[in-house]
Amino acid sequence: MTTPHHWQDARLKKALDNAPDLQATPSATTRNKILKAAADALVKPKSNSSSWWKNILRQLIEKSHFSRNAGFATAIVIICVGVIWTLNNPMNAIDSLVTHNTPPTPVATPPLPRSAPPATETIATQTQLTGHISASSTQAHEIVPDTLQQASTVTPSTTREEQAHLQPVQSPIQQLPTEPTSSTIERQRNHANTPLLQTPPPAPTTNAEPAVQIDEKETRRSPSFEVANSSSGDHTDYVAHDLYSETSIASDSDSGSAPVPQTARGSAAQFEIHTPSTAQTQTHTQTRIDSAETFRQTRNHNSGKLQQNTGNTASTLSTRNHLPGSQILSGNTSTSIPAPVAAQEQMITAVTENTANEVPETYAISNSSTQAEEITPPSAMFDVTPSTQSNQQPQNNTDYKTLIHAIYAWNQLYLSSSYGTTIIDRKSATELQNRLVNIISHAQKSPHTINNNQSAWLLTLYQNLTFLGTITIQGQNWTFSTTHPCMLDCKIPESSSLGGTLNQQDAQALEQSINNLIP
Amino acid sequence: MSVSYSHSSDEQLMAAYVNGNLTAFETLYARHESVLLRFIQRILGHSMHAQVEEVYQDVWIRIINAREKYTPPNQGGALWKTWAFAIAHNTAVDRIRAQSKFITVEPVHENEGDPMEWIQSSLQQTHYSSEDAAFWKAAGHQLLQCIETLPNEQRAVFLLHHEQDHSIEEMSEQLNVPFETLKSRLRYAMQKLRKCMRHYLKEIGGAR
Repeated sequence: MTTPHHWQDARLKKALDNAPDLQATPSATTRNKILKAAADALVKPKSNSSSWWKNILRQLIEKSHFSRNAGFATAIVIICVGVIWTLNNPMNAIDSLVTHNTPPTPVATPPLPRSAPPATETIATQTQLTGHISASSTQAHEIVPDTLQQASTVTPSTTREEQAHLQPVQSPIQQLPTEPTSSTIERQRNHANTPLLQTPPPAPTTNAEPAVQIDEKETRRSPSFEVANSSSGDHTDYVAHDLYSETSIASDSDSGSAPVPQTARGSAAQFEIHTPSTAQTQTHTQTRIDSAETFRQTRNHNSGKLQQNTGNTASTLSTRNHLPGSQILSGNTSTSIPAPVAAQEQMITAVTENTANEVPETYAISNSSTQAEEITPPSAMFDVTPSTQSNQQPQNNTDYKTLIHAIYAWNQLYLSSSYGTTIIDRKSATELQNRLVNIISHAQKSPHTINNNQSAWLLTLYQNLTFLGTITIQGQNWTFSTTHPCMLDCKIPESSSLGGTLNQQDAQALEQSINNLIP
Repeated sequence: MSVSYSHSSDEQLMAAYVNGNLTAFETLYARHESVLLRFIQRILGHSMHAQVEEVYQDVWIRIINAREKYTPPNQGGALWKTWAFAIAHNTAVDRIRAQSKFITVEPVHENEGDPMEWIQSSLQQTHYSSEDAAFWKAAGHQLLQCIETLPNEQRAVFLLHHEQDHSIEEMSEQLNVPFETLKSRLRYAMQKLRKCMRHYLKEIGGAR
């Protein structure tokens, strides 16, 4: 017997044994289910006595996902067909078919003899009537000769009274020549059939009434009728008769205005939302919306769903040529930050402190590329930021200075440890977060470049930036504190403060690490 | 009268359970609960983390249902652990194959993950007093990430070999895979893992 082959790597095995999932345990629910299944397996007797069809049924139900899926799909198809059937009102189609297939000449029942005729005569009469009822001339033509023959044979045995009833039908036949030619027979056939086929019933019959009603109903429900009413703008008639547009009718009636399609009304509603009475209200509403959306996004970031787009967005802040910190000088080391690759959505046209009074070309806080037009950046929560579309001069310079200070403070993070209070807006905070992620990502790829204190400081700063209102970084030990306004129904009270402190040694080491990590 | 099964082997516990002793199964379950869950969790990887418990339960149900088919080593069969982990392997691989059409396979670069998760997990080292323990925990975390980059077959072979100490012969017999195939899978897996773990292995040196 050969020795079993083992090629274990002791280092990998030790690392595997120390992995963080070492103490993984299933949930109590799963554990209970397994133990219960084990107990049931001992208790449950083997049921071999069940019939074959029960076994098949059980297998279909328990094991075959395909059968279940097929049944589910069939049910959905049935429901869909039923809904479509109901919505399209198939009775219209059926009614129209009935209308089209109905013979143009309704049944005109000739007066029948009051007493039952003999069998042979009944046959003759019924045959005759059948020939009259049939709308097909060919059938009528085939029947007529038989009828003629039968009628001629029956005639001698009929009574006078019966003959009197049959007289109108039989009389033209009796006038036929003894040996008629084919042409004369054809003419006589046509002559005999023509009145019966072309004569409409003067009085309404039971078969004729529904056809008329259906036609009227059909007309009311027809799309052309809807279009006509709609284009004429006659809402009253539209409400009264159209069965298919009750929703539109209701809305039109409520508004009391001209008919507006549903989509148009939706747009109107949106327009009302975004068109407040004053421009200030508009800005405030939009700010709240953007802030809430940003809050949700950043909260998702904080919960571990951070997208790794650090390479694109993290360098946005410091790539502006206007910024003094874009070319970072740390001692003798010159550090340049790579240019952003795709930072269209988060583009910030920054200006220097000297050019703070100028209006930036674009200062969009757009969170979505699908927005067709630029949105006024949030100003209620933070500082006022102008929009180029309004071509208005900024109310004050605080907005530019705030942004610049935020960027400059972050750039200064590489240079020194003397910081002042900086109030930054949500977007700048997000940018700072992205920079942090970039730094941490670099540190991740180069283990042991930052210690736990530095990691904790970076993580705390990152988390606080999510709820950021203001940030203060000061002192030699990189103490920062934040206050965060309550944007939604957050549990954190307004103006509460969170922060973190890094000792001077770690701060300097982190600074050096960051400089080394970021090429 | 309660019988203690703490010193009984897995095979004896399984035999007792087949004979109707539920306590034996509970002992067996408690003995392998965490190990089996961790094995399944590692095979499925982070992308299928939500299905770990479901697969785990399915594995135990299969073990329960196949209890009478188990053959102990003295009757020409395999160790219970080998047998059970083969069931776990097959169940997990079946689930991966069933879900493969829904998984978007993206190229995973080395040492790449969510930086925030990484930094959070690294911060959990602080409660370790020993720097060595912190290092190996970090290495274990890194190794788990590296394992997820392996193909399913290589991942399973590596875990069975390193975590469950299954020899290649045992794996070949239980999984019905040729010996050379398993050997190649294991070799490729270890090459990739060593490359992925080079930062940690460099500090340790060549010691094994």
